[in-house]
Amino acid sequence: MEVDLQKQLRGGKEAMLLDVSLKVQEGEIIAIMGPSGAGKTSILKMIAGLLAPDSGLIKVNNQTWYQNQPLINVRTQKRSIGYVFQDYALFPNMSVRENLKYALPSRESQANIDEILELIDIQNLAEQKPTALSGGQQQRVALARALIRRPKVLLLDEPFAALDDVMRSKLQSDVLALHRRYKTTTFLVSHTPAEVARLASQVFILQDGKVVQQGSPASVLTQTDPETLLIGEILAIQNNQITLVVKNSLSTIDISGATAHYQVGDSILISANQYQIHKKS
Amino acid sequence: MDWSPFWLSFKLASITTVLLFLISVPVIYGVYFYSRSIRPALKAIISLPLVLPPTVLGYYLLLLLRPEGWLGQLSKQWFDTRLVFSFSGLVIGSIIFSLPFMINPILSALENLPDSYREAAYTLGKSRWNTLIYVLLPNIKASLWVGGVMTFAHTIGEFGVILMIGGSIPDETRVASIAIYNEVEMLNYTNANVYAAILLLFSFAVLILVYLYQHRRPQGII
Repeated sequence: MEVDLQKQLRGGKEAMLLDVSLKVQEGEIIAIMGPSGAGKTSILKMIAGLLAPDSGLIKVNNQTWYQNQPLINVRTQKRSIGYVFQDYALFPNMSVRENLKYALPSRESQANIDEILELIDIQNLAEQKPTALSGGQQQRVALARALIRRPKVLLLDEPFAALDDVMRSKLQSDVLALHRRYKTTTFLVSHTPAEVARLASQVFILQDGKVVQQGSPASVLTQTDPETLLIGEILAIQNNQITLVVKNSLSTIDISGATAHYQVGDSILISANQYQIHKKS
Repeated sequence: MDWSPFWLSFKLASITTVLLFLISVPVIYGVYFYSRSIRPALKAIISLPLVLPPTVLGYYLLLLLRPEGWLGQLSKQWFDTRLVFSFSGLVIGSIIFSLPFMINPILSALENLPDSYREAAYTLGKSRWNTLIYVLLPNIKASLWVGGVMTFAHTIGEFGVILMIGGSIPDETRVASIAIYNEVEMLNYTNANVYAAILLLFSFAVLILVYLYQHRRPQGII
């Protein structure tokens, strides 16, 4: 699959030229990472045909969805895609089953609905309205709805952003299970390196509309500073033990002389050459 | 006491509401999906009856509906009916006069729905019509009700336009608001009092209903 897109974006204060070229193997999960406003969602919307590029090429399985010379622009409805929106976009007037039924082309068997409900373990929610579901449940329904038409391309726009860690991990397993089943080429927009490392085989780092890094998650996500282990802010110091806030979790570490050298509120960086690592027996 | 003006008002309001709803759906389809650049102009045209003096609107309608007018001629040729000073003329006038009361709440509710509903339906292969009928309109049911109720109530209270294009023909164009005017002209205050009180209570009850509904569903309707 080939995605080559140029578009002048007018987000926020300044105009920005989005100019990316992504080569993706069929059936691969690729991740797009980068700060907000870098153009991640715009790329998904252009692949979906919801936003028109200024120029470029989108080619899937030798089928051209978009090119500008001569102009080909296949309508969203005719592109074989599944899109999971940031806000899930489940239709509140329909139950879970009706949402899935609406997504299914009329001639297709409804047995698919039960199959996918079972695959991601939401059979018992089938008759509920989306508003009665938790965030994680809604997310799973959105995923099922996007996949029920067996699209060639699956677009996931920060699908796990609003979920807690347990639910996130469960859903990542669901995505992997569904991917094993359907082998859909998948674009995942994400902010979480661990998630990208777990799901994607290739990652593109986007900044100001350009790809600044690309490669396997292991090579891209760790090459920034291999020695840095933890960066955190000191929450408390007691008897040479420092309690740190690292991302969203707390860690307590023994550091000799901590009481004398540091104070609450300091940001500190702990790197591998100072840190003794013991293997747990 | 003659109750026929109320019956006529009720009939006019019911027919206007049903027809206007049917007309509104394609109008809303056009404005919502196709009018990105000219939408402000279209909205201004739809909302004109809100600010125009009813006599101005009535005057232009009169030009349009009279036998020499464009609609008047069409109606004469096709249906052999006269539109001015007739009930059918009143229905046409009421539809135009109440246009913003039906369309504005529905359109603003559509614009307040997340874009992702529309986009999600497209990604599921659904056309614009299909999206409007099965996804968008069912999620703004409250505004559809408000549009209908406001159109009905507004038509019941219509006066100026009806006076201009309908006059006061008993059982044909003499609706409740016109009947009050006639009673006052004839210094028949007892009848005028009863008619006026009924219209006042009716209008109040309708607004109470609308706001109660809005209060129960706080996502904003009008």
